[in-house]
Amino acid sequence: MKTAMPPQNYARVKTAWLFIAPMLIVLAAVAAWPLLNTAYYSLTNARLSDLSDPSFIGLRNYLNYNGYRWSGLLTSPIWWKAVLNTLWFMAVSVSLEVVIGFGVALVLHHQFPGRGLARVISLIPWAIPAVVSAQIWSWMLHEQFGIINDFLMVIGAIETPIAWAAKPSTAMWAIVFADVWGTFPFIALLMLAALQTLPADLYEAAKIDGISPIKVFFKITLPLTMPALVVAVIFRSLDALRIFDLVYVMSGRNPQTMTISVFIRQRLVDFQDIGTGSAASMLLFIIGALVVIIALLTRTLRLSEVNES
Amino acid sequence: MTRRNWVKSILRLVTVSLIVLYSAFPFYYAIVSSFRSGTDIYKPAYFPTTFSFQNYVSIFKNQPFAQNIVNSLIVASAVVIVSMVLAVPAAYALGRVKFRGRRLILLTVLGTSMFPQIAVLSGMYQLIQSLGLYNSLGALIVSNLMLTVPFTAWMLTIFMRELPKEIEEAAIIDGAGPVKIILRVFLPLLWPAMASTGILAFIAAWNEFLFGLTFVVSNENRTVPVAIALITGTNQRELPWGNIMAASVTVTLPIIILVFIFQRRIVSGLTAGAIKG
Amino acid sequence: MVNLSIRNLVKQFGQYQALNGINIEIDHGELVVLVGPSGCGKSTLLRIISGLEGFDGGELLFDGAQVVTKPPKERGIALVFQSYALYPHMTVFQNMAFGLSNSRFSKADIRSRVSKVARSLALEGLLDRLPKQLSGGQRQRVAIGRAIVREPKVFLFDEPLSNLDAALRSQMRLEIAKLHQQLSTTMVYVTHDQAEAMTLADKIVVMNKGSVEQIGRPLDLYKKPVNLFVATFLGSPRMNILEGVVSELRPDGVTLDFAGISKLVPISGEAVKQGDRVLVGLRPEDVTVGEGVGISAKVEIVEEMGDHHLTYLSSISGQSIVVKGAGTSPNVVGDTLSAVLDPSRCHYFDSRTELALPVLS
Repeated sequence: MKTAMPPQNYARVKTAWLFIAPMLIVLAAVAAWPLLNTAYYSLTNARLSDLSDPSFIGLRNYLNYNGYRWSGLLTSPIWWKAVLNTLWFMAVSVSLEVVIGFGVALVLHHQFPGRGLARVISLIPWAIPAVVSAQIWSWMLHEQFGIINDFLMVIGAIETPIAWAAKPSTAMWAIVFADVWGTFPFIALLMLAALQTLPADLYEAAKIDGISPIKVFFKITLPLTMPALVVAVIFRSLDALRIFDLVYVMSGRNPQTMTISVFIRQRLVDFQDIGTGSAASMLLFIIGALVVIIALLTRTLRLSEVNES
Repeated sequence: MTRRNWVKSILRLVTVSLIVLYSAFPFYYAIVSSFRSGTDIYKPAYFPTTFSFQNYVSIFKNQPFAQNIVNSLIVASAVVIVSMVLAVPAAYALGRVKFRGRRLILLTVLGTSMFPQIAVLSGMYQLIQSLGLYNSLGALIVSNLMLTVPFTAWMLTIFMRELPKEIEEAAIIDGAGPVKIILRVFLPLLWPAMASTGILAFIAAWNEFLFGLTFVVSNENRTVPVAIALITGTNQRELPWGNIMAASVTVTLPIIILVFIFQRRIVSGLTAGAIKG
Repeated sequence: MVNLSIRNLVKQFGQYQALNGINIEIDHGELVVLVGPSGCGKSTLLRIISGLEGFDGGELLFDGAQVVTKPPKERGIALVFQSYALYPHMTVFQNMAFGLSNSRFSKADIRSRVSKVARSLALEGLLDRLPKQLSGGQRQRVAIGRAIVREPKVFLFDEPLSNLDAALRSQMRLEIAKLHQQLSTTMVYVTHDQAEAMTLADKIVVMNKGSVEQIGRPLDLYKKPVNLFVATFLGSPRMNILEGVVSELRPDGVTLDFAGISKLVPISGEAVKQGDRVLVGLRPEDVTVGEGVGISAKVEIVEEMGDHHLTYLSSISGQSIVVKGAGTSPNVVGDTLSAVLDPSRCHYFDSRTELALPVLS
């Protein structure tokens, strides 16, 4: 006789599926279906004005050779510029966020009067909508009336105002400033939580042994908080990869500062070219999926714990 | 106190001040600017010198800004409620019941919460069109679910998992079925976690921009972030910075108050989602 | 009241066999204690009886009827958890009433039943408190009260006292014993504490590595353990074990050489042959220390308990022996004396199979 589970456990599993079903149906409708649709459109010549009956054109949106000339997304310099911009943005802003966020966490980890207030205040930028921080930073970086140029001139760091929005390189930096400001609290928060789990006696032992604070940071703090740091970097990288709001508001559709997301929306909405736009979407999805897979692999251990318990 | 400790204290005071200044100054500056009208705004000021409500009057009078706020409230609330209703039972099943396929569903949920919105934009557009929701708040509610449902389910699963097994077993022995266990035993224990999750989901929906920009075209149906991004003045060449700052302050202040009140919940929600997961 | 039959019960967790063919008969009204080291399967067995866990083979019968298809609430059981598992957001009253409210009792009915039980457990004044406002002992009583209120046919206890401090534990042990006398319900009680098992049980089931080692009344097990495991598990301090060799078979027993002495012991000659290794078990209270002929040993440590004392000896051959005596100890650390034992009070085990050897009476 084999009764691996008592019958009420079968009922339990049935109930479980019943409870998950509504969520799965909704996820299928609002996530899986649009994704599949996008994948399908990427193989067609669909136009925004008429989605009803596009013709299938294979991979021509991605790459095409018509006998004497290559065309398609993968040959488009604008696309590659957008990819480069995105990767540059991701690398620069995530690095800065990690440095600032971790630094803030280290300072706010120590006990001092007013720490609670300092912590809440450092959370403010995180809560501000990206669109709003884009506008605030645009205003602060305004060439003529911006407070940052004014300040830099008052302290004598520059002689003439910097036209941040005028040049692509400075425009990208402006976007980085706004992004770093808006997201360092997230990293600081995660690192604070990680720092709180570190055993205090370890630090006391180091202090008694007379080890220098810098050495303590690199030999104790950093290795022990590394898992949390990795998680934070992965989360932030995924966000940076799809950056849209800041770029759209701060520098519009300028091809020199365009990121992948802005490029895609321009193809889809402004050029009405659903085919190419969807193809670009799929490429972004694949890049994102790679990062997610890496992210999931680093969490596999934790997920298997979920299964055991 | 030794000399060394003095140096340390002063160093700390300086770094903490810098952090506070860096965190708060941009928003502070937005507030200061929002109260400067006319040509005043074009003179950089580190401290408030004039108080004029003209910018605030202007955004509510010359644009449907009040309507935009109401729209954002409707969309964000609806999205949070629907997400909770879907995610609570699902989280119970995923967090507390062992069954084949659970791991796959958890991975799917986590993966969905991470993948870029823009990657589904054309497919989502088709969905919105076929549901006849284009240019309506319904379009935003449906599309925002893609962001908040997986997030909410994932967070609540983590919290559900942490409730002690014996409490549920005691309830089973006491003859309570799954629905009763959720409603009478787990929900009362989970409300702090649900508050954390709900606030985070609300903020995510409130701040959402891409779908709002793409699926709604008329001014009256826009949400707040889109309205702020698209504020234009009478003069085509010069942006009405005063109005933009006033609008920014208006929509951000409630969220900042939310952060001050629910700081603990937000912090625990954010860290639980990222670290414990 | 109900009698339970557990027949050939098998439970597997993946590859791991948690229970391999358990057979236990529990009469109605009996208090049975499942005892054994952690990981022996006792809690798993209890959870299977409760219906929280399924099983992979064998039978589980309540009054002769299969219960495998019945969920916990239909089995008429109540379970008291080690961690109490009180609902943290409910008051004491709500905690006790929750089970009743799930089975269509009227409000008045619930109130009268809860208050009756609360009175019997001295919880009347605490009914409006939350679990976090109670002491450990009070929580334990609420957990028991929650079980009693439902008037179960079988009471299950899963190490209910292990979270309490020593003083409270013996007090609660007494209360559970009284409870069993009052209710005379069938009870199954899991513990790893042999003292709890000895004092509470009508019948003890000693378990080890997923199997039953021995079932019987406490004193029977104490006096006639069937194997080395049961012998050393029950009793505190644990039984002394000395290794010996059979040197001669005789009609009235065998001669055994151990701990530097040679002694005629009443093992049946048919069970052993010359040169066999035998384990001699002697309870600390069965050894006397004195001048007579015995194992010569040195006093290492003396523990005074007031009413009794323990003397830790080390024999010349290096074996340690614990001796329990009444009153205060006359012994001084460093003294050499002789530990005298009565062969008829010793236990004998085959050193290979660890089973008890037949003894001549």
